[in-house]
Amino acid sequence: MTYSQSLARDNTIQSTRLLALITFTLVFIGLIMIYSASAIVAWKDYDQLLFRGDSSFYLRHQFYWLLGGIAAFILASMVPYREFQRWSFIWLGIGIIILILTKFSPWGVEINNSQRWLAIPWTGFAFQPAEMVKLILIVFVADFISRKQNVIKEFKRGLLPLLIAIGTVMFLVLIQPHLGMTILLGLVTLLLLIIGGVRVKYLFGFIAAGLLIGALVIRDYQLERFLAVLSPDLSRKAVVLLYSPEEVEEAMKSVEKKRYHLNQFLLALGSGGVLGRGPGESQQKMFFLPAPHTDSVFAILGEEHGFLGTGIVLSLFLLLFWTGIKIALNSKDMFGSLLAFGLTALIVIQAGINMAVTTGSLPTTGLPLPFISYGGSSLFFTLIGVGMLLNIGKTVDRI
Amino acid sequence: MLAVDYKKRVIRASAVLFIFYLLLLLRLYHLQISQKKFDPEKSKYLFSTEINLQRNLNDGNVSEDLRQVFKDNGYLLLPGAAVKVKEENKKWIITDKKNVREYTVIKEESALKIYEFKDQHKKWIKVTRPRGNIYDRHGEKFAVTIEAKSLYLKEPSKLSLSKKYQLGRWLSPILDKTPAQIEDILNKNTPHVPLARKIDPIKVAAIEAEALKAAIDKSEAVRSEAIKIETIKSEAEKAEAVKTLADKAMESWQLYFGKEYKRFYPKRELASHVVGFVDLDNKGQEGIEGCFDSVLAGPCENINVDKDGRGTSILIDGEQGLPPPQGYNLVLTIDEIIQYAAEIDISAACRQHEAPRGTIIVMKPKTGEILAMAVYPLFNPNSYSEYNSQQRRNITITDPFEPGSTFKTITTAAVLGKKVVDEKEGFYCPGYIEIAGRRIACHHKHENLTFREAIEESCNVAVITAALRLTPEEFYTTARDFGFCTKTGIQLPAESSGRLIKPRRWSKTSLPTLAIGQGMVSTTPLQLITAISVLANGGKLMKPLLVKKVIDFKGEVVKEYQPEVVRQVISPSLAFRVTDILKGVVERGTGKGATIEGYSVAGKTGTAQKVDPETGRYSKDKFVASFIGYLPADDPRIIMLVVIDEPKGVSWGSKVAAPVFKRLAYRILPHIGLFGQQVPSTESSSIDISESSSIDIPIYPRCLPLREDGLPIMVDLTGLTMREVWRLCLPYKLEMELNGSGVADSQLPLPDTPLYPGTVVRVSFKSPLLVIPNEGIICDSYPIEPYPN
Repeated sequence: MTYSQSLARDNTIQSTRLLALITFTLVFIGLIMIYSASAIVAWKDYDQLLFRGDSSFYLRHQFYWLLGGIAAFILASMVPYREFQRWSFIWLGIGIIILILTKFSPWGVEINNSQRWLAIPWTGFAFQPAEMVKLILIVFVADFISRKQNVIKEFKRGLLPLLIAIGTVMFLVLIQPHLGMTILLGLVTLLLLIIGGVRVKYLFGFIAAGLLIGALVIRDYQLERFLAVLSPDLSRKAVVLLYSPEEVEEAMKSVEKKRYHLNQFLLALGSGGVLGRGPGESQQKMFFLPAPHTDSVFAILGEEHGFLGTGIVLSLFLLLFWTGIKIALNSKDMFGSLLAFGLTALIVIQAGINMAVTTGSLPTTGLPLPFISYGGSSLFFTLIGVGMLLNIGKTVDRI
Repeated sequence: MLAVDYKKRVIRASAVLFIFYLLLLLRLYHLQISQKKFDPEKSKYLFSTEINLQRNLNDGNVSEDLRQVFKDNGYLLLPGAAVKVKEENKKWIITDKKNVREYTVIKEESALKIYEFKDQHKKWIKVTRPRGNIYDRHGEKFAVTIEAKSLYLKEPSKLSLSKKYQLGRWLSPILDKTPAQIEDILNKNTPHVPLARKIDPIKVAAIEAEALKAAIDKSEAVRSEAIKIETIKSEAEKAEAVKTLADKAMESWQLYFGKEYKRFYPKRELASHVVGFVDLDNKGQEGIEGCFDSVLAGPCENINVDKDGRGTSILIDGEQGLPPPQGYNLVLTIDEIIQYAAEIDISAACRQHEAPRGTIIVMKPKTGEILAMAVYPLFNPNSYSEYNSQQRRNITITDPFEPGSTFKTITTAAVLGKKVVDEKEGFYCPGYIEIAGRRIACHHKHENLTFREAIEESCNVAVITAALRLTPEEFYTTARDFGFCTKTGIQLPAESSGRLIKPRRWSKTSLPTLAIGQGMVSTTPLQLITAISVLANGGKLMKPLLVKKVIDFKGEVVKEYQPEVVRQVISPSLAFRVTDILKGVVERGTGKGATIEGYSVAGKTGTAQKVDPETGRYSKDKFVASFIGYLPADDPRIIMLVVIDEPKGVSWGSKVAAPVFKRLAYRILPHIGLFGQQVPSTESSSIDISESSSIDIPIYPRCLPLREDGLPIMVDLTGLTMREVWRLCLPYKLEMELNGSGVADSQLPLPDTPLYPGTVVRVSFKSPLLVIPNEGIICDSYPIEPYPN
């Protein structure tokens, strides 16, 4: 073992420890923020005769998922990551079947006009398959690219099978509908394809096809969310361009409504200032912000803990990014590298999109902030992802 | 080579993401530190103005100039807007509570810029407070505010069909509504639907019990809860658990109780025409309640409170600076005991003479304070909707009548004042007088008599003869001066001004008929008593006073109403001369029925013919009998007017109204401290208390009955409050020993024992749960407290 190799090993082991530390710091911050943001919602809205007024309802449920998530995290960090490679095709099949079940079977649960949950029969227990499929897809893409390096530059044998797999999954997620998740999957797989060496000219086609399909299936409210981010003048021009004359006023009204929510984010962040209003002191969580404990948790963090809080969380994600990239670079095989990069990018891009939405830089997507937002399946599968990342980092020395 | 390739690409991709994160951090820095975009103080720029308008702002005042500038820009700034200095000479906040708006004034670039201050986390709410109480002059409560519960349904659209059906089934019998009516309510599409307002406490308990029962029938979980509760040993814990479960049951039906304030009149019929009543929304409708509505409701105040995103206000106790806990209280000049006695007497008289209406007014002539204003028929303001408006109207101020002979006092004052007649001048009465071909009759042929005797006997002929020496203008002006055809200005709504036709529209017979108080004049009872008070008050016309003062909840006086002289109508000596004649009326003349031993009484009877509305002529059998008198004649303490409308059978004022005057005087004189000086002889002071107690007015005794020798007799005190016992025994110089609290339980001496001055009266009290029919349970409704005056 050369000096540089041993340095890389030590670095990587340090990285895995740091990764676990960052992860659980974020989870801890998440629990605090979930309680702060959800207490009022749970107390006022959770409506069941004998449990009404239980302000810690969401906190407890998140905590149960967290216990399961920690177990899964430990398990995932112990299973050698190459085991996933062996079954990646079968996993993808299972993922696609589950997605189909979610949309088209009676076990799919519809909440707020989206069918994103799958109830497991006879258990009274539901989860979001998209969260699971996103891991599966990353594993599949990483495996395929690393095994087919010799033909990756070809379209038919290299790119096409990949595009079919990715497209199927994205399509099934899009029709739930879950536009945010679809975009996230598209971005991460796109990055993996670029890194894997796919010809960029093919990828332009991939992007163009994605945009075209997106434009065809986009729904009014999703379009309005895009328009709401634009300045009032610009959004008006866009509305006039996109809608028939009799629909313009109606559309403008709903764009204004969407902009109201955006403004509530900005108001929350702005009134936080440097140090924030203080723990639990958010005014915006009193039903001014939509879904305070899921999509808006970062805004409440900004209001209660100011730039200090948002800066620390952002830095933690940046640090997580750093360690994840280090693991990817130190991995000895291409599969490990691609998988590590994919998993890291998944978390970091999702977090980035959520924070960008909160700061009014991107349209509302409905993507939770990893580790921090309320949402059991998201936490569970993200922890599994981190567990896999950890395993890749640990494996460096055994080569 | 290959490996290096893809690792390079990883680094490049990472760099892109890294830059994205840096941009995010920059954006956060921009939003949270460098820019404060959403400042509620500057939520909207309105206009700017000159810099020199800031000068008064630092002292907390808005100058007239600035107000004008606001007005010019279309923003009305009401007086009373408060200024808060945020930064000296830089930033001020103007709060206009009445218009519920706030403005920020900021000095920027050598100009004053005005912004709208609008915080989305705040909202203005109007504070509802309990209405102030109404007291009599001694602090007895005539009107109080109690808490009542109203039943509401939350979000009926969220109820399932089967739930709606069940809810209608168990709720309809309790609320006395048909299931169809309930269904209509349930199908409303508003967040909160009132089902029943101001329900009495017994029904509240019934609704809770039924809700629990229905929930047990429906839900397995509630049933097992209920069974669990059955096993609890401790009674207190069990009750607590049942209460909690009942609350949950109510919630499962989406029902809840809201607190409201309800007006309650503890004295029921007493002074109800004066006090008036409020509607279901606590808005004053008639009487004092109507006239002083805004005072009783208190100053309308808007306060700025936190709210959540759904518009629900978040009130944290003690943090919001709530205004005073209740509206202002009123203290009336009414004396409860005199009022009660007057109501008993007018009711008794009206029933005896089968009269449909009657009224008594008792007043202090020197100040114009009204001590009693009794109107028959009585009504109970607690259930005002059961009475029609005829029964509820205060006829002492709304219904003018032709006064008849009592107006001769005014004629007397006019002819004596203009010196056209002397008291001793002789007249001849042939039993009638013919004027312009019309014959005006006298009661009988008086033949020769002096003017004084003419008034004593109420001779129409002599009075008309004397009055004809006046010019119409002179007579009219005198009558106007006495206050006829002018509203007295009493603090009650819907006062009528009466009628006095102007001389230019008079015919030949007008002046003669006016002289005897018919035809040209009609007056409300209150106008009449106010006018004749002039004679008792040395010629000064007083404004009648009903509200003595306005006090706040601590008892501090906010406003006091002072007696007000309207004008000097006649000279004191002339008033004395007329009084002297009126003394004769009671001593020797038609008013003999009103003599009171030991006091000289000045008075005048009246028997006015009424115009039959069908024929338009004077009716043969419809009269208004009245008597007005004041005593002691030389130094009048009280003046009383008795008016009985359309008595059947005997209708002379001397026979119908004068005895009422006498009986009432005997009742109330001890109370105003007059019998302390001159003890009346045995004969005339025996008052038949049995008659009054046979009247079914459900009020406890207000004065002790007197034995034939003038000694008061003890009555059964059981059930009276300490205050009432004290008030009852106060005028008779007795020693009181009161023990305990609540209502009287036992007493010594026993009922029917004569009470000598200085007798010790021992009464013990115990705590009551006073159940008032139809009103629910009120604990200790009359707490002992210092008099507000």
